[in-house]
Amino acid sequence: MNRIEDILKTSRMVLNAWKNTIGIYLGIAIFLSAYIVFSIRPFINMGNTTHSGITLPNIIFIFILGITGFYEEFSVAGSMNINRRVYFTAHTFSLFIVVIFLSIVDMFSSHLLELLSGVSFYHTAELIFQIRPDDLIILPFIAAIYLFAATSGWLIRMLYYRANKLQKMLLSLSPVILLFLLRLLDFGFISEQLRHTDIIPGFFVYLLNDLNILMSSILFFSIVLVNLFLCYLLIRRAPVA
Amino acid sequence: MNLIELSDISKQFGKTKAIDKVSITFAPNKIHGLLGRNGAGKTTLLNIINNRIFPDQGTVKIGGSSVKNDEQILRNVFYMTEKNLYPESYSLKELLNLCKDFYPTTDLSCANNLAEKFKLNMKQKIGGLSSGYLSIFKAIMALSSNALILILDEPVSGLDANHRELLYREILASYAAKAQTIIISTHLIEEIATLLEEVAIINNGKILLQEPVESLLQKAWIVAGEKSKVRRFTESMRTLRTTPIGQREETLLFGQIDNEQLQTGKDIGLEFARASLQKIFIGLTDNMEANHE
Amino acid sequence: MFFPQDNEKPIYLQLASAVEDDILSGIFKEDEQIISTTELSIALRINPATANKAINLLVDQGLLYKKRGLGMFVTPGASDKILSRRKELFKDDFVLPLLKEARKISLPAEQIIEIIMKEGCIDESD
Repeated sequence: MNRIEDILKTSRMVLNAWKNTIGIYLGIAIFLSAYIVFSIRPFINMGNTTHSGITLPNIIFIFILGITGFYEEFSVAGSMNINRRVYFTAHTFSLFIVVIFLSIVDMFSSHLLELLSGVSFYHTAELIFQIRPDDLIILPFIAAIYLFAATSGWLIRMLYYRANKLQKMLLSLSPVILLFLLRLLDFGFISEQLRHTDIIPGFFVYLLNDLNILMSSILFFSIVLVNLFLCYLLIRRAPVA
Repeated sequence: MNLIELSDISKQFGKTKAIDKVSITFAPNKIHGLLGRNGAGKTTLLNIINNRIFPDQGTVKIGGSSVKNDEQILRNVFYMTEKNLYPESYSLKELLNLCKDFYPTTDLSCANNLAEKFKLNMKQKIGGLSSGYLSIFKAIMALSSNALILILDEPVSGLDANHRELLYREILASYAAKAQTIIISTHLIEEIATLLEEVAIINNGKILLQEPVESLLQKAWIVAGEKSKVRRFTESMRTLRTTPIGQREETLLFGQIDNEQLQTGKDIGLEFARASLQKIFIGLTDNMEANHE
Repeated sequence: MFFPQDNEKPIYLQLASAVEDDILSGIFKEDEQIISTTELSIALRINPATANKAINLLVDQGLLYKKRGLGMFVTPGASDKILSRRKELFKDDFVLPLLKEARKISLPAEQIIEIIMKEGCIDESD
């Protein structure tokens, strides 16, 4: 019973638990994607019909998987006296696997649809960075974004798991409180020009760093590492039931 | 060795001291009873042993290794919790296969045999089981895991009388077949008494005693007879519980009585009987000890 | 095998006694294997250590012997040994308490003997 074996077995358990959700989602997402693409096919000659694939839905899906994919799996692992550090590694590893899988599906399904339908495909990344379709650079970028979404979801769930009643309430209200605080900006307390609608998009613009897709990937990945580190700190003293 | 050692364990929940400076060891290859009233701290203590929750102070060691630091040591322990940790959507078969994954010594055919004996349909999901059958399934997993240490928290919770008897026998069969340490926590004392080799009684977060059942049973007597005679006889002894019945009185004594004293008592017309484990437990935990002036 | 509880004696002594009874009554015959301690503990729902203690006691008394790999067997002559030991203990375990009770209720010795004669002791077939 050595550590690596345990991590792999736990990952297998986690991925097994997630496979249905992922399968159903992909089934629907790809079907809808194909449906939309083939619906706009007749309008190709009218110019400027493009599709950008399932990237955005993937981001939302994996964010939600980050939130919902922790509790039951951790409970089962805990019930079999799996060490928390081992579980953390396995959970992280599983997220990586899913992210890589979704990245490949993202690219692959889009190119396939393009081939089948003739509708042009411009990946979301291409639209942002204005680069030529070059899979090798886009793949790490979307992987980094997916990981960012996944680990952010996981972190939110971990905070919730460790929180007491009061903290839970504050956590639920935090988006509202945050927006409220941002709105205060609009009264000109800090800066005459800065509006609340500038902050959050501005944050992402910074991350997207439209000069360099590689730099952007690195920035997102750094946040992933921070998220994972925080999740690790939170899982260390997490009670099992 | 698989000695389970708790040193100076304390745990507080808010203002309540759930576990109060507990130091106790569970010797390997015995069936131990952890007896306590509802809310005495049994589950909290077991959760701490299995590193499910963390003590405010103190350490838990199994076979010399700290449970907090050693990642592998708890893999030798199968902990059957009272609370259900298995998601409702999981099938029984799936969970057994997971058990086999994480406890390589698991015997799946043994599990299927036990399922048959208990008439448990393995083709179900956790969500479809009644509370009694959920307990049965958890117990079957525990017994089939063949882990070196089994910790069973209220294993017969929700089981009807027939199933309880069956489970007790299966626990004995499992224990007799291999070297295994078993800790059973329960508040159903009389049923479990004959299975136990050693017993620990926990009350209000403190361990009242821990000793072999046999020696404990030698230490308790019920003395009955005319009130004044009983009182005189038990004057300098520790009495736990006194029940007056008219002019008669029945007292539960905790202490040794040698043959001479026994004879003396019988000669003056007192009746003596051994107290059952349950009576001893109730006497010790009822906080009703009488003080003789 | 009758197994009463709530006695003054610890369980392992009660069990040893019950096995002796079965040897006496011929349920366990000489040089024949008796029920294993595992089966005993499961059937009677007691801890195997207790069952072992009872059996070991009987081994120490020379009533049982162990055959490696097979189990416990009844020693030849065990029945007689048990009989003679019980006959010795008969006075202390049964007669003295009887006399004590008789004294309590003021029953004279002659009446006791009368009752004994009427009820008969043992069948002459032993």
